[in-house]
Amino acid sequence: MLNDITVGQYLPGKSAVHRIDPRVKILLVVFYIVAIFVTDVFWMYGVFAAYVLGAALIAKVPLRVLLRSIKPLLFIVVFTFIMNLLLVREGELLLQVWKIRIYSDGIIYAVRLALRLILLVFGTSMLTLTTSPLSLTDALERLLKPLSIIRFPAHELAMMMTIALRFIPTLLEEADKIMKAQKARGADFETGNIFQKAKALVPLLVPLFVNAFRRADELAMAMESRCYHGGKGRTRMRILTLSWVDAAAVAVNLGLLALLIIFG
Amino acid sequence: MSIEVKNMSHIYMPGTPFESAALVDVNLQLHEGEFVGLIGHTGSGKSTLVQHLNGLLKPTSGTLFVYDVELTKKDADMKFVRSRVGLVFQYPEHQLFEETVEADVAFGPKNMGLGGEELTACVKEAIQRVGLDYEAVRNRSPFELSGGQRRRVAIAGVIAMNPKFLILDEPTAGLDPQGRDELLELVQDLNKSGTGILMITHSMDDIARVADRILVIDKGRIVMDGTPGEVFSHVEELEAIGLDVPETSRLRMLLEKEGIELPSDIFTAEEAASYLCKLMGGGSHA
Ligand SMILES: Nc1ncnc2c1ncn2[C@@H]1O[C@H](COP(=O)(O)OP(=O)(O)OP(=O)(O)O)[C@@H](O)[C@H]1O
Ligand SMILES: [Mg+2]
Repeated sequence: MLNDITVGQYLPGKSAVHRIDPRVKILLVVFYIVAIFVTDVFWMYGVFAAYVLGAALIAKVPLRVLLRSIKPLLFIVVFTFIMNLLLVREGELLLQVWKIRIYSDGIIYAVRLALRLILLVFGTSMLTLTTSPLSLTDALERLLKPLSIIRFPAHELAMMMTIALRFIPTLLEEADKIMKAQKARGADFETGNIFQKAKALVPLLVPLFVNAFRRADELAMAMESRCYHGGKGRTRMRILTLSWVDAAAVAVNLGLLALLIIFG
Repeated sequence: MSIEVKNMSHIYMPGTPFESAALVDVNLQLHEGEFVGLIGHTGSGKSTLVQHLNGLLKPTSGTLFVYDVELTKKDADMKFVRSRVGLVFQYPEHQLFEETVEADVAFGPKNMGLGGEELTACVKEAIQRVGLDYEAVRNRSPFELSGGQRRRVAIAGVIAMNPKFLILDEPTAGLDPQGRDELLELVQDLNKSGTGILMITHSMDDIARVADRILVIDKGRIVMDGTPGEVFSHVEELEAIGLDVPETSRLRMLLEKEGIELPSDIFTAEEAASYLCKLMGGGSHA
């Protein structure tokens, strides 16, 4: 049952997109997001869609996988689309059925926002599909490093994210095991109304939390006994260096920026 | 017959890149009151196999009958099966959750529909059975007991359901030698009073001593099935699949090369020593 949940959606690979430095990749995605929300020109959305699909093609990410990433947000996309359609009262009145009025601007706003949201999901999905969670937290730490001047805990934040990512599969596995053990004692997680189901979760959640705290404690001790003392003076195992892939990616994005400046 | 498995296979995560066959065409019969040991290398499929025997996992193919219930049928009565076949997981002490020992042990029987005095009586019996002082522990939190005591509480929680067949997945893992001996004694004791036992273990000396029958599993297949004497006479085959043999089996093999025969039902150092002393013409060793 718990097998269905995949943590992160990283698809390992060796393509150029995979090899872009994670720091650069994060910055490019930030630029991309800003860009799709800045531009008002419809054909620019086409350009950005082509950009994302091109990246997917290079990275050999199946289209099916990319399309699937929209699923969790489909409700929001449809919801905002309908809200815009019904509530915007500007432009020409195109259609009136009883109290429902549809204006030309409503259609434009609705379509534009839907396109932006879909492109947003595609772009961020491309980032998580082609970058391992560990590289992402690593890159995030380095990007946030300058903020440590104002005491922003960049290293601690990244370490927490890394540990959380590392332990999610462990936790799922453990939940599965405890669930089975309680089922062997006759526990029933499936039938009953919502209150009975919530109550049935107690024998699962209590041991799960107890074990998680125990493990956290052990991990902290294991880290300390190996001389971990926070980020200060800590060297890195992986050295990130920029290469021609990064230059190429930046060049493509400069092109997009130029289009953006010229056509709005 | 208590449990019968026919041509059972199990594939984890079928249809994904992580697909792996954990059980391949397993055939197996377990009889009332037997004491069976299940041994195999890490990852050979032991835990996967035993989780099928009370319906926690469904076979990918094949059939299995547990106390005449066909588990592979959709409408199989799982409650009945789970009351008949108790399963103690590895490190069962990590599954305790109630505020008191008594309440935790009562969880299983309560799910089986027991209540009132009957419930109290069977909880009390189970706690005493595992060698804990009922009055002293009943109102304590399981989380303030020692690791060994917690494991006993967890085992009590399963035997309180009065299973006819009890399966234990490495029950002695992580216990000190004394705790291990006590646990083995408990299991033997349960077996003497009629409960069938299937025990997974990595300790060959222990299992050779206590089991009537040994199953050897390798890469998801049952490769040997026989008495400890028979199974542990295959020293080389066992070593080839990464398994140890009891010290006495190794001794037997060495003696055989010298032309001395050590009976195949001797599995403790003491018995071997006194047998050899007698053989050499001395009295029994002191
Ligand atoms: N939930 C699961 N999902 C996917 N594969 C699994 C799962 N559980 C076990 N496996 C795989 O199935 C195989 C058999 O595992 P199993 O736990 O039955 O071995 P085992 O004999 O109990 O080993 P051990 O002695 O280490 O407990 C292993 O290769 C394991 O990686
Ligand atoms: Mg196991």
